[in-house]
Order: sequence, then structure tokens, then C-alpha cells
Amino acid sequence: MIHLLPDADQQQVVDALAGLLQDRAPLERLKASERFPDTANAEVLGELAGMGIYGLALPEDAGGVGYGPAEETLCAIEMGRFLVTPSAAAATLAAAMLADAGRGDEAAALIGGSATACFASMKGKRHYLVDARDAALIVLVQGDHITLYPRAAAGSLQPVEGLDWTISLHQTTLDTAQAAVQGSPARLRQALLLIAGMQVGLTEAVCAMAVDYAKIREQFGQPIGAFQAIKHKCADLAVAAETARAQLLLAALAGAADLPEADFLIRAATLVATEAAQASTRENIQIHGGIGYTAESRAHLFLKRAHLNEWLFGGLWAQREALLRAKAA
Amino acid sequence: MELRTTQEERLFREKARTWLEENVPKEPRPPHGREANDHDRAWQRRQFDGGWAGLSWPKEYGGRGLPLDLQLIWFEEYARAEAPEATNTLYVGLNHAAPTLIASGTPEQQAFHLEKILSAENVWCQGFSEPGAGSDLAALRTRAEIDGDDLVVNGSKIWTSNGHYSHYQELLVRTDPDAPKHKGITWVIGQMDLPGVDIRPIRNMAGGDHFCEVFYNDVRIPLSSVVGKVNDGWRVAMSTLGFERGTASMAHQIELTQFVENLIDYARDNPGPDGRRMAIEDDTIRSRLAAARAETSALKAITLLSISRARRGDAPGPEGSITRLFHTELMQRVHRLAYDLTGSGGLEMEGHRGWSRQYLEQMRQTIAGGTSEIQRNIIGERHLGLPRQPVIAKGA
Ligand SMILES: Cc1cc2nc3c(=O)[nH]c(=O)nc-3n(C[C@H](O)[C@H](O)[C@H](O)COP(=O)(O)OP(=O)(O)OC[C@H]3O[C@@H](n4cnc5c(N)ncnc54)[C@H](O)[C@@H]3O)c2cc1C
Repeated sequence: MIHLLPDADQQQVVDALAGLLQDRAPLERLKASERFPDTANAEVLGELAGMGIYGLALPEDAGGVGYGPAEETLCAIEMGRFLVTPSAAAATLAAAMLADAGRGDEAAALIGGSATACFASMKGKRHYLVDARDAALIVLVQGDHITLYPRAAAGSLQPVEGLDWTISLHQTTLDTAQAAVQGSPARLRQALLLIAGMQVGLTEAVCAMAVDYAKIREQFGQPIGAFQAIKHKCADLAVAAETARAQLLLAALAGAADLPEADFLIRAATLVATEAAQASTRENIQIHGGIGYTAESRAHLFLKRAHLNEWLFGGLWAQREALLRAKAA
Repeated sequence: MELRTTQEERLFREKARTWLEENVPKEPRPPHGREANDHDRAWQRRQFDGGWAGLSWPKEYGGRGLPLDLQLIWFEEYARAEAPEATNTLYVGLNHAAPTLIASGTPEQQAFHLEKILSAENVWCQGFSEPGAGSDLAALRTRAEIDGDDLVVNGSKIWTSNGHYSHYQELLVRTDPDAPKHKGITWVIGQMDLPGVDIRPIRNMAGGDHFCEVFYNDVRIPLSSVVGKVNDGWRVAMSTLGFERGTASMAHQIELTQFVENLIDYARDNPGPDGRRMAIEDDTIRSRLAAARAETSALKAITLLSISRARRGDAPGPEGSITRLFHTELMQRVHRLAYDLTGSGGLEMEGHRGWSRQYLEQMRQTIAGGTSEIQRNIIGERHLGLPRQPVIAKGA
């Protein structure tokens, strides 16, 4: 039996997180027309630590809350919806890898929020750091590997103008000889699910945003959503969101149960979710017309994030390659 | 959210696998026409005799009343055993007519028809569409007047799949031309060999004689064949269409998974369209294969999501159109990929393993049973709550 709807307990976890984000990190916090200060991301990360999110799926004796991949993935969807910095996922992964390596104190610091982590992404032989701030640890997902680096492994940081205005971007070179922890295959899966989860969340967010706008914006004496050209785009957004969510949750359950086809399902989830996120965020801009093209509208933030998330797991091509190699159901 | 395998599921899977291994027909299914229908009937009969027919039907109507989880396992094993396409010429009877009779038929109608549908003794077709009533089905005009204990039918239907070898049909007729268009329709069981019924096959673009035009000239059908009430046919029909948009296509989806795996194997072992390297080494092909694999998995996932909703007790709703739309368009993408993989070999009608013909046949997916455009209207209006398009109807 495969059940893809949250049970009451799981829904409670989701609702609690969504409530916190709505209260402390509403989308209105993002001044869409300006770059978002690092301090604001740090505040949101602190709020999430207060809730114990970074240890959600770690066992209690490792300092976690004792839930599993299902709950964690559902939470990633909420974080995507609110455009929470991916550093929240990085903290989760760093804490898990440290706990695996028997470095409980450092894991506890991450879970408690006194230390933070960020993602890196390869650029040729060099690297980008995403939302580096004062992160103590760096998570790099590349190919079939997930690796944790200490901050010291990064050389000097050069700030670059990032595509995503809500997050700082730096170029650096990671000294790969200085890896702190080589993550297990289970941690790689966890990373892929978290990132795909954020993609699903923002896909759902732009679907709702587009549909809401299509109901209120009037032209030719009627809401634009009455026009099929718009209505049918909205329908496609709903299809994309539904398929991406379903595939993600199936993959999360398969990962938790360690099914032989888990890797296949998880790579399929990253691929489907990323295609959905990028197509939907673009379509949302089109549905908004001129306002959608402005910096004022939040529409562009979702598009940019959908591209940023893609490179947290090494890009779509890497997903395709891994998917074709994986063992199908 | 939960994933576990129960003992019941394990045993059921074993039984299904063993039975299928021993019983799946060895000879290939003819691609279309009466030969295909004969094949479908023999295979259905074997499933019926083995106790594997009507898994979803309630027990009191001769089915096995199995939960969706077990039905899904059956289809998985079915595909694994490479059993003949599950969506075949018996589809209307098994998946439309029978559920309609179960929901709205009289005990006499049920007693007479249901078992004969399940055992494939009788083949059914669907007489809904007319030359002037396709997407706008409620515009149908085939007339039926009450005369004593009979309805007297005059008019014509079109696109009636398998009409030329069907015994019965689900027939929608207009019984009250003065009522608003949805209110004057009646759902009636039509026997195909009644005097005055003239059936003419229409050839489709893939060469098959899959569907027909059917003319009715003073055809007398007893009023006892009306399902539901006179003038209540729209409601009766909609309950059937709702069924089709739900989980009835499960088998199809699992077959598609198998098909995509076959494409990947083919691409590894055969030169690509450019003839210079194995197909799988061509980046465009690679990317399409990866997408096909991922999206076919997502198709299964959304089916599992609808099953989850059904398990929670939700009535089938407009989100069935999401599954249907994604499913039909994905089928087309996958078969187009198969076609492209075979390069110039695709110029032969059968191509490699029938892939060319299948590519052509897939064109029907986004037309039959409600076009993609109509599905998008349903999703937009009924699922997302967007305003209806202004309807400029004449004479409705
Ligand atoms: C292979 C096959 C098998 C079939 N089998 C059967 C069968 O067994 N029994 C049966 O009764 N029928 C059957 N049909 C008929 C099928 O249900 C109709 O073809 C379908 O509903 C479309 O109707 P139409 O062909 O009249 O096209 P039309 O309704 O004329 O549509 C033409 C085009 O206009 C578009 N369009 C129409 N209305 C709208 C709208 N409101 N908004 C946007 N676009 C619109 C359509 O999407 C389509 O692209 C079959 C069809 C096919 C192809």
C-alpha cells in the first residue's frame, strides 16, 4: 500500500511550520525590487532552528526530533513556498552528516542554530557559495556524492552579482582535500529530496499566484482567467504542480523504505520538480503581463530561485544521467 | 504518508504472477479490427474462468470487489507478464457500461447484462457522439419518441468505436426536444442488430477500422431498456464519464512504463537517427529518454495520489482530468520518441515492432473521450475555480 496523503500527525508538522513561516517569514518580507540583506536570511534561519527543523529527521538520541524523510520532505515543500534560503536544507544535511560521523556536538550546534551551513555549486574547477554569510560548513552535491567541507576549505570569497536577489553569491575555490565528511548514499538522497521539495513548494506557490491573479485581473470586461489562453496555462500549472508533488512524495517514501528503485524515483523527482518549477515560474510571469516583468512583482523571485535550486544538485544534465543509470522499478 | 507491503498484498501478487505466467496468450494480439476483438474476447474469457475478471466490480455483481491497491498489483503483474493490452475492444463494456448499469440500472438489466459483459459474451460500444455533437455532447439530436412501450429512434451517431462487432451500445437520445439541452436526454441500452440500425465502419489514419458511423431509422427499443429515467440520461452518462477519468487507466500507465524501458534498451543497442552512434549517445535522445522515464514515473505517482484520495473517501472530482491530460499527452510524447528513435525505418507503416503505426494511433489520445482543450477547461473551471468562458449558444 502506498499512501501519498499526509496523516494527521504529519499534517500537524506541516501546519506548524507553515504557521511559523507565515508569521515570521511571510513572502512580503522580500522586497522584490531590491537585493535582500544577508541578515534577513539569518533571521529566518534562526526562527527555523527554534522549531528544531534541522534535526527533524534525525533520531532523538542524535539530538533530532525523530521524524523521517516523509515529514522532512513535506517541510521542504513549505520552505520552497516561502522562498526560505536553501541554507536551511544545508544546515539539515550538515547536521546529519556530522551526526553520522560521530561529531554530535557540532551537529547540535547546527540544529540549535548557533552554527550555520550553506551550499556550494561547481563552476568549472571553481565553486559558487550560495548564501555564504558566516556559514561554518559547506555542503556540495556533485554527481553521486555529497560532501561536507569546513569553511576553511574555501579560499577567499569574491562577491558576484547573483541571479537570485534574495541570496548572496560568491565565487571561491574549495580545497577538496579538506573534506570534513563524505556523506553516505542516504545523505545524498536526503539532499535531493530536500532540494526537489523546495522546487515543488515554489511550483505550488506560483500556480496559486497565477490562478489568483487570473481571477481578479479584468480585461475586455471579464477576468482574464475566463480566456482559454490563460485558463489553459493555469490548468498546465496545476498539472505540473500535481505531478511534481506526487512524484516527490512517492520518492520520499521509497527512500525511507530503501526500495531498490529508490534512487530512480528520487532522480525522477528532481527532474520532474525542476522542469515543473522552471516552466511554471516562467508561465506565471506571462500570466501577469507587464506587472509580471517588473522588479516590483514577486514573480521573478520564484523564477530565479527555480534556477538556483537546479544547481544545488549539480544541474539537470546530472539528474538525467543519474536517472538513466538508476535501476527502474 | 505511508509505504508498506502487507501479507495480503504479497500473497495476492504471488497468485497473480503464477496465474499470468500460465495463462497469458502466447500468440501476439492482432493490431485491430474483428481479429483483435476475437483475441480480446478469448483472453477476457480465460480471465473470467480463472476468477481474474472484474477485480474492481462489487462482489454482488459478480466482481471481486478488490481495493485499488490490489488492482494496482494486478496491473503491475499483468504488465510484467507482457499480457495483451488491457485497454482493448472490451473497454466500453467493462469500464463504462457495466459501472453505469451497476450505478443506475434496474435489477433485471443488471442480471441480464453484467455477467455477459464480464465474460466477454457480449461486446459493447458507446453511441454518444454525433456529427453535430462532439465536445458539446449535450447538443446531441438523435431523436427518440415514445410510442406505446417502445422508444422509436431516428438519427445518427459517429465515431462509435468497435460498433461493427458490438452486440449492445450505450445510446444517448433526445427524448424532449423542448427541454433545456441537458434535460431532455435519455440513456438507453441499444441492441446493435435491431431492424433499422445501419453500421458503416470508418477507416482511421492508421489504417484500422476502429470506429463507425451508425444510422437509426425508426429503430424500436423497448422502454424497459432505459437506464435511469427518461430525460435523466445526462446525469446517468456523466457518472460513467467520471469513472473513465479516474483510475480506470491504471493498466495503461503500467504498460507505458514497460514501453519506456523497452525504448531505453532499444536506444542502447541501435544506432540513433543520425546513424553515427548509438541512439542513447545522442544528447537530444538521451534527454528525451530521461524525461520519458521521469514523467512515466510521475504518472504512476499521480495515480497513487488519486488512489490515496479515494482511500480517504473523496469522491472522484475534476482532478481526474489532471491525470487524464497528463497521461494522454505523455503517451503521445513517448510514442513520438519511439518513432523518432527508428530513424528512416519509421517510413514503413509497421516500423520497428509496430512503433510507426502506434505513433499514428496515439493521435487519438488527445481527442477521444474529451479533447485536451476540454480537459483544460475542466481543470481551469472546476478544479481551480476560474470563471467559465462566456458561452454563445444558439438555440440551446
Ligand atoms: C479514436 C476515437 C474513438 C472514439 N470513440 C468514440 C466512441 O466510442 N463513442 C463516442 O460516442 N464517441 C467516440 N469518439 C468521439 C470523441 O468523443 C469526440 O471526437 C470528441 O469528444 C471530440 O469531438 P469532435 O470530434 O466533434 O471535435 P470537436 O468538438 O468539433 O472539436 C474540434 C476541436 O475544437 C476544440 N474545441 C471544441 N470545443 C471547445 C471548447 N469549448 N474550448 C476549446 N476548444 C474546443 C477541440 O478541442 C478540438 O480541438 C471517439 C473519437 C476518437 C478520435
